[in-house]
Order: sequence, then structure tokens, then C-alpha cells
Amino acid sequence: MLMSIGIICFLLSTSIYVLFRPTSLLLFHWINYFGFMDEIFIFRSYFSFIKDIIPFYLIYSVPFGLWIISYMIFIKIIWGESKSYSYDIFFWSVPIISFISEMFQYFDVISGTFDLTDLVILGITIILGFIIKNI
Amino acid sequence: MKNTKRYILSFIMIIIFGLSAIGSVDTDSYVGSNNITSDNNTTLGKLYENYNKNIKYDWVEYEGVEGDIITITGLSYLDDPVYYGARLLPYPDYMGDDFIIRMPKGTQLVIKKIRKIHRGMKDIMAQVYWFKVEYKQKVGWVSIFCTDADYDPYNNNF
Repeated sequence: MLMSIGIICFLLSTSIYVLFRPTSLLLFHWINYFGFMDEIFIFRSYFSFIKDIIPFYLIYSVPFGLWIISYMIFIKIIWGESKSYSYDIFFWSVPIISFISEMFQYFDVISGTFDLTDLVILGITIILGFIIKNI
Repeated sequence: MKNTKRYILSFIMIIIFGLSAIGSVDTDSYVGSNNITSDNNTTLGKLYENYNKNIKYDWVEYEGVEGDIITITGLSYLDDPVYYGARLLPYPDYMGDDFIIRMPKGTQLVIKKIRKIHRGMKDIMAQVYWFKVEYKQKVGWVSIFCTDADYDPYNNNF
């Protein structure tokens, strides 16, 4: 069950990135390098009408949150009921680093555009992390 | 599961998700960047060519029209200052987010070339005029919608 949720979150977030995010993402340069850009553009054209309907934050903020959730789920599956500190470090490293880097963007410590919605989504993700860890 | 196995799998997860995070980095150029060119050999050029394979696409180029002056008006219906002015794009009808340079509202430009693009899928077709212009020694394309040009898109006589 947990594995299915993790896979669904990962596939859903990847799909949003591939179908709706601008092709200026580094990801598309890789896809182009491997020669799959034609197929991707065909898929994008099939789903292009959805982009006008779904809210902005579903395209630009939620996918990253889903990615982190799927990461936490996979780490949870790997470590099970282990009480090791390493489990805690692996589990929390990605969400905490993401949250801190978003805060750093606000204070112009690192490059990037601070977005409050991103921060809220990351906050929700961390709360969900506590739930996932205690399942 | 042994801890060694857990460490290995966790590191694999870190690598997978790390690559995903790197892949989500936007290589878009921001205001003032001059990294993008109209060279068809660039990745951007190839993306553009690939994009156009999937839609019905045609264009007409007008000869002997160079010299007309157009003024950048920008997208006036948007109040956000970010949208004032227009973007100089690497290709006519370019749909990506990259651009060569941003041109402020009021900029006067000399037309080097005019291309009318027909594009669409199935029976939905659009025709838009694109102007090849030079701004700050950078050559690119700007859509009629960002200028004061009043060519009639349905009139081929201009």
C-alpha cells in the first residue's frame, strides 16, 4: 500500500514536470539528448488544454512536494521499524534541505526565486513526513 | 534487512531524487542574458524544430518590406511591470520561455524581415505576423501583438 502511494506520487510529479513545465528545464535537455523530445512534445500537445484549467500551484509547487513525499515513503519502506539515527538522517535530509534552501532564497543567500506557496507546500510535506514516519 | 543494504538503497534514493532535483532546474535566461542565439545548431534550435514537427505549420516570408519602423507596446492588459515591453525571441513563433533580451515599452525598431506564421492542429489555425529586428546588436523576432504595427492578419496585401 505504502509502496503504491510512493510510486503514484513519484509518477504524478514526474508527469506534471514533463507535461506542463516549461521546456527550458534541464530535464528537457537530457530528454533531448537521448532523442525522446518528439514523443514528449506529442504527449504535451495532448494534455496542453489541461494547463489552462489547473491552478498555477499544481504545476509549479505541488510536484516538488509530491517528489519529497515519495522519497520519504521509499526511505520508510527501506528502513522499516529501525530505530537507527541513520534512518532519521536519511528520512529528514531531503525535506529539511529543501525547506532551508527555500528560506535561503528568501534571504538571497542562494540564487532562485522565493515563493511562499513553495514554502507552504514544503511545510505541509514535512507535517506529512511525521505522519508517514509514524505509520 | 541488513543495515548495509539499507544504506546502499538509501544512497540510491538520494542519487535518484538528487538527479530529479537537478533536472528541475530551469535554464531559462532572465532579463539581460545574452546566452541564447538564433543558431539552429543549439539545443534550443533543435527543440524548436522538433516542436514544429508535431503541428501543422507553414509560413510566408515577405520580401522588400525591411525599413518600416515599429514601436514596442508590450502586453498592455497586464499591470505587472514585469510584462511591460516585449521579449526578443530566438525564432518566430517560439513557444518556450527563453528569450534573447527584454525590450522596454516604447523601443523603436527597424523591421529586417516579416514572416507570417500559420500554425495549428486539425482545423484550428492561427496566423500571426513576426518581425525580425535588431536590438542592442542582438537579432531576434518579435510578435505583432507586442508592437504598434497594425497589419491586418487576414489581409495579404501589405
